[in-house]
Amino acid sequence: MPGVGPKSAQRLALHILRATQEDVDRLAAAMHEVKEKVSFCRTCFNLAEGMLCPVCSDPGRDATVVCVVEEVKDLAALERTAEYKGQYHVLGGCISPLDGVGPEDLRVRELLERVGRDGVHEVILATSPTVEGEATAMYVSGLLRPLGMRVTRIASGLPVGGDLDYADEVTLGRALEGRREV
Amino acid sequence: MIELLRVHDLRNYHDAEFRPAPGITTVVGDNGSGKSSLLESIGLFATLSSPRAPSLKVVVREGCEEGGARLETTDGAQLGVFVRNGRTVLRIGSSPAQARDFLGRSKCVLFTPEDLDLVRGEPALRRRAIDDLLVQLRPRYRSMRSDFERALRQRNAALRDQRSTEAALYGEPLAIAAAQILESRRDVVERLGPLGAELYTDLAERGSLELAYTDTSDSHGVTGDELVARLTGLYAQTLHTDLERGRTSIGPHRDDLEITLDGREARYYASRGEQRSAALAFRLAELRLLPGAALLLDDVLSELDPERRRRVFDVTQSEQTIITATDLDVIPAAAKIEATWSVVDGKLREAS
Repeated sequence: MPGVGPKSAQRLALHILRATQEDVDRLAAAMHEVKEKVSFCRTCFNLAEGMLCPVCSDPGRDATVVCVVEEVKDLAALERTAEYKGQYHVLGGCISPLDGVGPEDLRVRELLERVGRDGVHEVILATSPTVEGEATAMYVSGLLRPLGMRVTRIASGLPVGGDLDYADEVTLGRALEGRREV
Repeated sequence: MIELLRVHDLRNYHDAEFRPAPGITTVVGDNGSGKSSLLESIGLFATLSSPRAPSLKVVVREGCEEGGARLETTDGAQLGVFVRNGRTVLRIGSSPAQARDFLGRSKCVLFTPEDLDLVRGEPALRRRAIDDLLVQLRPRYRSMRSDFERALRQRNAALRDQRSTEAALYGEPLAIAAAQILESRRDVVERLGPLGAELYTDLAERGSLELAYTDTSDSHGVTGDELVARLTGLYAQTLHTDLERGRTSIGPHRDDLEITLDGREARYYASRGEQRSAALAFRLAELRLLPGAALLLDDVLSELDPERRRRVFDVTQSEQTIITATDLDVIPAAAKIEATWSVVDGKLREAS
């Protein structure tokens, strides 16, 4: 189990032993149900109950804009903002030779097929601002740009509600680089 | 300046308190008593690394889960560095802190017997000396360096596995990170150069000392986006040969600091004594770039002849200086010592 060390594992095991039979049955049933009902969206590879995820099956979402993220959890974070009205594409990770992950292990081919097929105007690259995230964004943009659509990268900068003098140098430096006209 | 240092379960210390004077403080003890460890613990606050160990795991006292130190500066900052299960935990006051906020609050220049090999030793020693200085000068440098190391490891992994697409892909991220490292190092060596030359003369050596950054990418004078473009081009050009070698042949990880005396490479032509003075001049020049930094001299005076020892004190008289020695005899009579401490088996005591 990711994120669970030996101590947490022991605590969880003891909790299950102490729980009522009914609660344990409900937990087991829930796990069973997740595995049975939840799979990946055929279009964007978000989690879905059925063929399409809630985003792709929502007619109110703009299908001409696709936001590319590394993992489902990144998609969930963007959805929480309620700012974005387009669709997504989950790559399933980032290109990392150290972990043996190459472009063929990600859903890049599916992305290219999709943007060619669905008349996408803009692709927003929202991979993490890490070395691997940037490399992956470069790779994907290199494949998309010849197809003639708008390819953008999300900005990195200052957190809202924070004081400028508390911002670290890296963030502040990037915010300066990404400044815009007002 | 350091007001107070408390060491907890670090190396051979269980719980010790050290209060250095504003000027010169000496710490006297036998070999293995804990003199170097005391200076090492002060160095932790400056660079978050140990000059003696690649990982901080080993600094924790044997049998303990956690070890570390707290430091109070004369301007009231309270800093803490703790190592727990191999992880470093930082504190400013009573709140957890990030390295980028922590670095630069307690600066120091540490001169150890190993530094006497700075001139003729491996290039890695000299790169490390420059990096340790930069980490203290620019808090951002540490994350720049870890980005560079990350990109380099990714490209090398791709090269080793003969995956040319990924190796080519990591060329540009590597170039971006390498350009930042290269510019920072070139800049700091340029500033160190004249100071080092001046101090070398002050240390009563004849001849003129020069420091120059030797850059494997040969990008002298190229900066900014142009430098990134140049490096990106180089990584593309060398992709084929690098794939054969299975590693990245060009970049800051292969650069060096060239130290010359009267235009000749000091590591081949200078005498042992001149090499030591050059190393010392280099460290003392760092001190000039780090206002308010403490100078830590770890058992090096015994390695210098009496004339050079005397000169060291002439050039460093105004700084907070902590000197360790096995014997007070090595300290020149003219030196103004404000506090004397002794250490026996991890126990520190101020001599009255």
